[in-house]
Amino acid sequence: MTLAAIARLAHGVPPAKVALQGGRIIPVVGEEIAKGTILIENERITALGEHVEVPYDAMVVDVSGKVLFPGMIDPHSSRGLDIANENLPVTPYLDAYDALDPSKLYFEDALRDGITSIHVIVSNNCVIGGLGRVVHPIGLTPDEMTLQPTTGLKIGVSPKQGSDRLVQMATLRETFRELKDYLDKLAEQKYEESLKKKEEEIDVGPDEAIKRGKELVRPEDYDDAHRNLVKLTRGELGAFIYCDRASDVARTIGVAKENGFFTRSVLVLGPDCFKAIDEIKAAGRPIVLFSDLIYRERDPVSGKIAETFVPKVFADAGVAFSLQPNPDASLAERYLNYQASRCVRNGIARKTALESITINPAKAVGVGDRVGSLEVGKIANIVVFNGDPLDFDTWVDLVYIKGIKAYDRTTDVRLKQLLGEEPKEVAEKPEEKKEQPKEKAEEKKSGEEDSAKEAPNKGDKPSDGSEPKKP
Amino acid sequence: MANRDSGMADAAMPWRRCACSGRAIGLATALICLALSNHFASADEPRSFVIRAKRVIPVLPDGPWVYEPGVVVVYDGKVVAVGSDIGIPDDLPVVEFADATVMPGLVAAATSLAPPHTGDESIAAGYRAVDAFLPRDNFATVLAGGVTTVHLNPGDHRLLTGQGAVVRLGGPLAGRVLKERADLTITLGERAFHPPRDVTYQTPASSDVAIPPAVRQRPDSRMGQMLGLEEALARAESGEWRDIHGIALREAWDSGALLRLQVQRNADIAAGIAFLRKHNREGYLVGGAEAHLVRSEVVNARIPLVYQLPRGLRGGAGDVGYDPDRVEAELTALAMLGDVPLALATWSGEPVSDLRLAAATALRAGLSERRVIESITRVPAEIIGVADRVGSLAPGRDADIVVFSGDPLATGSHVERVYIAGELAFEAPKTSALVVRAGTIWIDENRRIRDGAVLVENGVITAVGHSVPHPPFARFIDAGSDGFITPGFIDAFGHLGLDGDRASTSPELSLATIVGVPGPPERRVAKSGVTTVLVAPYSSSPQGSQIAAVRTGGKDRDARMIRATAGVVFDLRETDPMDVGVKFKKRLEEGKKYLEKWRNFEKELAEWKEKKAKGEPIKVEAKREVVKEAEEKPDPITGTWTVTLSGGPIEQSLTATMKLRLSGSDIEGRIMVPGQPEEAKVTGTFDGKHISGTIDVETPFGPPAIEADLIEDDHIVGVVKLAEIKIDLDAKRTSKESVEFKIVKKKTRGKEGEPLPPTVDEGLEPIRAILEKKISAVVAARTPAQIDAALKVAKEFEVSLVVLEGDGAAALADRLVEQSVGVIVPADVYRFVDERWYHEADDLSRKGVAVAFQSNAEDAARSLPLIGLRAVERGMAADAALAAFTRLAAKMYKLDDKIGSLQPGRLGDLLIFKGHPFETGSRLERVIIGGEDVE
Repeated sequence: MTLAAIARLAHGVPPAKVALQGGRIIPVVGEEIAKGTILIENERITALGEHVEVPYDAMVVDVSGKVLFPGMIDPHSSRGLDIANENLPVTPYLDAYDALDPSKLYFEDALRDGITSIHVIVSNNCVIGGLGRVVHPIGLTPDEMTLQPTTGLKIGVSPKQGSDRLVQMATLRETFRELKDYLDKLAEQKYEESLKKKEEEIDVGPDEAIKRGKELVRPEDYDDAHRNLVKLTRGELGAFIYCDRASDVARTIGVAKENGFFTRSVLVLGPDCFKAIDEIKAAGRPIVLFSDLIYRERDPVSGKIAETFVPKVFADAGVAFSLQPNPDASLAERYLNYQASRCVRNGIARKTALESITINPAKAVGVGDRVGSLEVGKIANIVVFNGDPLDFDTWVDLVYIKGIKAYDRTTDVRLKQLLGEEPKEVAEKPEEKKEQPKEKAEEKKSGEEDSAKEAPNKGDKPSDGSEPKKP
Repeated sequence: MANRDSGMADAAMPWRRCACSGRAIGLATALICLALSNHFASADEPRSFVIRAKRVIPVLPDGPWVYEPGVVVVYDGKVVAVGSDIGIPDDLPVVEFADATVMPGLVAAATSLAPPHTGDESIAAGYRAVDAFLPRDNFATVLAGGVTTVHLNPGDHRLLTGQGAVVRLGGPLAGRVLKERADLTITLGERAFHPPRDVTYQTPASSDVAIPPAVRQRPDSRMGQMLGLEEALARAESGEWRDIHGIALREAWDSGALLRLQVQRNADIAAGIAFLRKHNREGYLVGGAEAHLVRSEVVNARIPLVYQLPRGLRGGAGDVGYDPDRVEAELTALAMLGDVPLALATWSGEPVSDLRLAAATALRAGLSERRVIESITRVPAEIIGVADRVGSLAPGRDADIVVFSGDPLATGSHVERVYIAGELAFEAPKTSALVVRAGTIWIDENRRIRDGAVLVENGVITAVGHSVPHPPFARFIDAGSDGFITPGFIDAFGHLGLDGDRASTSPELSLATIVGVPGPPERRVAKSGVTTVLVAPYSSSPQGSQIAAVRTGGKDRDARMIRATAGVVFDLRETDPMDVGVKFKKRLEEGKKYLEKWRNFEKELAEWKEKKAKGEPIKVEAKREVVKEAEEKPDPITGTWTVTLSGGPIEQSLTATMKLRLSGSDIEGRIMVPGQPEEAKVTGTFDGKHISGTIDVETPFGPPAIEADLIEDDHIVGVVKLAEIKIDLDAKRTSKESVEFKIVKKKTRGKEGEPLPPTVDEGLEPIRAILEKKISAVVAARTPAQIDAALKVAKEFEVSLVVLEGDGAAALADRLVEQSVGVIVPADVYRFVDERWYHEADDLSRKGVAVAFQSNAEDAARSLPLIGLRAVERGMAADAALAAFTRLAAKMYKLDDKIGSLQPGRLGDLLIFKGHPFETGSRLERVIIGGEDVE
């Protein structure tokens, strides 16, 4: 499916103006509109409302009966990389850009699930991992996919696998101590060089030399190993810090404050971190919850099991949070909108739940000004659901990214293979679908053969009424 | 501010604010109280309370070792006062522990709670054990062992593993780390040998920088270990070791950090002591399995030792085999260490919660109990450097308190509660198990268990003997060597709960209905030692009234009921001498017929089942008559009538509804009188004008008769006659529709032909039970003739008999014995009869007749034990009296499987006396009903 979108890019210019007309609009920021239109021009939303004047040259897409929702955001994923973690504990010089693989099936799945922005960053098994990047799941190269090139460094306070907390904390402390040492040495070195230029000898002690040298240091002087750390401590980079246990939260905040990146840190929480709700609330930083929303704990003496619905703890405390999908789950946890509907089912307000999959993660990863809601001026990342996003029988019909139709369920090859049918004009009702598989069993084979040849010819598929011919 | 008190407090003295009391108290105490009274602005300080317990052991080097009873006053999370007889302010909540021992929370100076670090470095002073501490974790299993403060160890697998920490497992989150960097942990010996090679990677890797080879680290042997330490110190001190470990080592060394030497072998112990001396540093040893081999050095150097006790409490220690290098701790070594500051700890890898039990095994090494307790509280706190805050209970220390159910080092004791910084950190899960230990446990007149114990679980006695199992967290009562445990006393005939209601009860009424939650009268009776009352009405009906067996304590009615129908009482006292026993006999005959009906039914049912199982065809005789025909023709009688009854005794006329049906000349119908719960059947005849019938209602005068005339269409006028009373009847027909009502003739066979049970007669059910020998018949008799008659009837019907009151029963003693009849003697046990003083109970019991005592009153039953005392004083054997109150009374009522003796399976109702109950000078200390104390 990705390739189809790619093909469009390759074979023709996408329409500059698109109007999605007649659907119910949930902008997340602002009131819902029962029946409205979104006008997209040059990748951005230029108008949104009940009565929008649609220019004559806009491609009008009829989405009546459907629901328009902002593209959802995965705030913390390592699935776009070739491996999730590095072996070395401290690797601030690495960048997700180098490992990003656009052909990964994950990106295609993301489109099918309605996720339009993915924050790709190394996973939790590190002390200091590498830089992260926010990407759209369309594009042939990482550059094409990128929405936000540098978000921040991944830091782990909980022990890397095979390690323990003593080593983890010592490594962290050592990293920053060594950074200070390095900066001092660099400053001293610069001062010496400046003196050498003037052909003078060193006239002051090391402390004074360092002080003077600090002003002479330029950004290009830092070496790869330290450059990102310097940016981190100066607040120029965000920090995504993973705390596995509730007791780690206090430690995390301490480390962040000590080393100057607290104001840009995002806490990625483990399953039982809700117990430290007071500290988290006092910290006031954005948080990303663990994908498992229910926490079960057994009392060691009485044997009783206590269950907590974690997002409720945060919602009750008034702390804004972001949800993660869990693509490994065989259940519906892979869908962000399902995670949100579980929240609603457990007593969280609909508004809070919807924000936690759209605008909150967008803000957390630093793209909140561009995506995360349907507002004029924002990038046109729009998901068209066939019903309310929080209903369990809703699926994604269309996905627009930057105004390009990136996904169309009726032409979804893999889905067609799964359901054993030819792609149809309009998605059929579920009951009819069940009858089809047996009849279309023999067609399935031919379908498979077709799909192999299909990819390059996607654009020439028999037309459906909803898709006008390409220019 | 040590609180010095002399002697034991008198428990009866009220506690009052010092300033108000007029008692002379020590000056120190007065000063404390004055100081306290200034603090107590509000009573709602969260972590302030007072503990009162049987024993308090403050574990202080000077002053009394134990306060018995003891009081600990906690204010705002700190101990403010400890003593025996100290004044406490009225506004602090008081927590009482009647049998418990209160101690400071245990301090574990060596634990494996923090896993060893996974780093490769041999000298790694930069690792801090405090990083492994997760304060929000659930430490319930450790707290259940009574341990509140632990030392966290960065590891014992490298030469210098890092800096240890001392933490607390509860209390406010912020205060859980007592010492972040408590010591430098050094391990000498085989465990630290052969560390891996230290590898550092140059990052980012580049072709310009060579990857340095892996560096070998010391130590591989004992020669290398001390050299390795010295080299590392030199490097760190010189400043050339510029990484986290070098800098940390220098900082720690310069600031005079405590050195914790983890050693087992004697060579290492000696080397460690030498190292401390050489560098003139403070330190302590941990482990010390071979310390006894270098005893003189250890003792002379006065190096504190945290001795790790041998393992094996859980699943055995594992084989050692022939390995000469493998060293294991030995208990016997402990005794050889003199008075070195000694702390006890568990072996590495063993759970910390075993500390108490492991330390208790040190008693086997010859250490005194006092030394053992100190070595798990104050001494380890001193060694690891937190003695100013924990490890003992003294004013100014943190309120880390553990409450043990009994002697702290006894195997049967468990932890009841743990307070840390005044917060309740652990509470033992509630179990219903109770163990009572005492010097004497009374089984019966011939058997007593000396120094035995009783186990009560779920309200039932499950074990009695010299030693009984004690489930975890069971409550424990030690009654002492003069403790005397008996079953609860039984009042064989009382009226507790009737609240003065003297009405007699009809035969089908069970007194279970009056039983509710115990109130003040029940409590009064229970507290006196009477735990079971056989409740009977003040007067009984001629057909007999039911007696219920009820406990005087218990949380609700179900807990209090022993048996709803425990007997039936027949009063023969006022009967005409000619008719004596006649009613009793008649009732038993009725009961017999009823029983026969039931027996027949059971027989038929068994036959039917057999037939069915064999598959034989069964004749289904539906002997069911349901009149279903609806008369089409309206006739003068059929229909619904509105009846007005007036006159006679009825002041205001009543309106009733009557439905009648005429078939031939027979009338059948139903009448519904307001105020009556059910319709009454009406039967009669109609001869065209006159109606004559009866209403099927039981009254003392027989069923009422109707004589009426149909004076005009739909109008009947007449009278209802009831003996001499005449009530005017005026009925008007409101509907001519025929009324269908089923004439329910008793179905004798069901759908498939199975026999149907006969109707249950609630009044005869108790009689049936008597005839089936499930309960006894209690006959109140006053003369030998009455007793004789009762005996004859009982013999004829082969039922168990109990004689109530029975003046002159002694004369028939041999027949009473022969028929196993018990006698409930009147409350006045020693009476003047026939010109002499007569002790009926003694007389009967000597003749072998079972005797029981009664109160014949409500909460006057509380004086039954005193009555028993008088009976003994007047000559009855003490054990015979005790048996009369317990075993014999239960047996009479066939309740001996439930109450009356201390045997497994009986209800857990027992009394704890000091001394035999019927010796003067003995005292009833506690009453236990269903395993719970009666307050």
